[in-house]
Amino acid sequence: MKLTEITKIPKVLGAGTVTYDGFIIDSQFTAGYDAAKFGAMAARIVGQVKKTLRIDEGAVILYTSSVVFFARAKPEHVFFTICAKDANLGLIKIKMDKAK
Amino acid sequence: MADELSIDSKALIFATLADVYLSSGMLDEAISILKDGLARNPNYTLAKIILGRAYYMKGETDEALKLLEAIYPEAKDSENENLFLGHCYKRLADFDKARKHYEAVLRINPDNKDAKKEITTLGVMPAQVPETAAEVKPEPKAEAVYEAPSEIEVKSIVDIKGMDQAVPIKEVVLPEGDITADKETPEPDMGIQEPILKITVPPPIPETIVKGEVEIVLPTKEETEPEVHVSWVETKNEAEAIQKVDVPVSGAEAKPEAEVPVKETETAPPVREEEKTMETLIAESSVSEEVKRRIEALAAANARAAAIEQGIEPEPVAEAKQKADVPVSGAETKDLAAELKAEVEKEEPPKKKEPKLPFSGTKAKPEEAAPPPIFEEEMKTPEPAEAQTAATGTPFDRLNVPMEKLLSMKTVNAAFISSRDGLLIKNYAEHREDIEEISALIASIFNEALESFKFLNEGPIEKIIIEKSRETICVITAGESLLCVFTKPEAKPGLIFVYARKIIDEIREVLG
Repeated sequence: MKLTEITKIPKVLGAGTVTYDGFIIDSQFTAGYDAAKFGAMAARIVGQVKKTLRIDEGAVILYTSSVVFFARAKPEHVFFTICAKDANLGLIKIKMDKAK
Repeated sequence: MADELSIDSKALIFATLADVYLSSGMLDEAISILKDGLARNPNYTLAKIILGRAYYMKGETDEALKLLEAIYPEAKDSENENLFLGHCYKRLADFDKARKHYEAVLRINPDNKDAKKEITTLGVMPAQVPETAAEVKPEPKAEAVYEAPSEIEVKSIVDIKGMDQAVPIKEVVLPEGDITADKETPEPDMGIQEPILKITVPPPIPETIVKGEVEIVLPTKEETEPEVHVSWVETKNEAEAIQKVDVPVSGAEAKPEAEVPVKETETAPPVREEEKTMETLIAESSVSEEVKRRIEALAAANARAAAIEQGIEPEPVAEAKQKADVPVSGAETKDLAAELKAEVEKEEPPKKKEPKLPFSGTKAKPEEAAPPPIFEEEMKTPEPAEAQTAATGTPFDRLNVPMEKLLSMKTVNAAFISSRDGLLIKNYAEHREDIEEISALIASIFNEALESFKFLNEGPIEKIIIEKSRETICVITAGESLLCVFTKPEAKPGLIFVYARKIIDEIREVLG
């Protein structure tokens, strides 16, 4: 799936893929948002979840006061998206779930 | 060099390595490595010359002669080829051929002192020559004198296929330890007297006294197979003598047309000292130091290779198991313990209904009489939640109603309330035994995410949804507590959050 399918959703701030080491594979972010930072955080959180809960695949959705962060664990990488809190989270989640 | 040779078995470095072996007197090793290298590079002329020299040094003159003659057509312009052929023929008492090759050496390099000396020696020898090689060997004489060169330098010239392209510069053949009885011929042109070593035993002296100076002319770009041309050169003490230093050669490292800068030739050994022993000469000679340095380098390289081959890789540092960090602040623990104690005390005895006790977070005292009502508003019956709280006396009882609604959903499996430290506060999933462990793990994940978001300055975390293959965990912050709800994958998270909102409000009111 192309990142543009995610980033074209309104109020999506960016999306990307990152290795479990925290290195960005591909990303598409709006100005002002550091893809490397979000990628590193996605890798860290997903790695922690995988290690703690002993799961291979899964997804994490984090709600903060301003943004919502999606991260889906893949075997080789982490697919993550960040969007505004008032974005259509359901649509983003569907897109994320369909992402391979 | 040994490392490079082990890495690239086809590397031409074996000639240089053999050169070092020969310099250190390790004849068998040199012959072995040369044979092995020539098996892989059969057209490597220079290696054959070195092998011929090794045979000659070992005393296998016939083998050396056979080898050197075989390559003579293609190496006839090689100074060393002619030099060692001359030595071989001289040892075999074929002085005419020896003289011919020595003259060829001088044509190539008129300054070759060794060839000059040999020709001079041959010139004064009687016409009748011994019939066999055995007769060539001088008989032991008490005053046999070995003329040691003032300084001997080894030059290795990486030639490119054609050895004639290498410009020999003042190359003089290393004396092969020729013993001339009662002969003392100082070098007239040098103006100095050569050190003279008196040797009582006359057999040919192995060429172990060599100075390890190697000149390497590396191949050009278009020439892919450089050859190492090693010539044994006696260095002059004049300033114009070109000094080259040996360099570990590998094809990868070789740069075209590059000549390695050279260290200054060591000071010539004292030439006026007489009657030095061979060991003293070796010890004082800079040649022997160079050879020692080479040998030490080789030994170190071999040791490293052996260590790598036999060494055990360091054990990877065992990754410490993650443990749930559950520090508890004293005040919070005290409050929770008090509440839990109160809850236990309330649950144990049969309850009496105390309708007039509003929720205050403290245990109701049944003994005390209710204050007389002042206004009728105060006499109204309490709200159901307040009534239930009053009935049990536990603040968490206020959560029972909304929690029951939440748990009544088919897609909700379990729920619990924990502190952010991972301590379980209230468990609504009695059927699960791993709630305490999960509580600690969820708190760990939450704190990890919290730190990450602090780093990003995106505000505090309000909710986390962790989707597993068989269930989904919804973690909702409620003040300093966490409400965790386990749902089936098909659960509707929006609905879960709607139900959870009421619980969150109650938790915030109860726990702050």
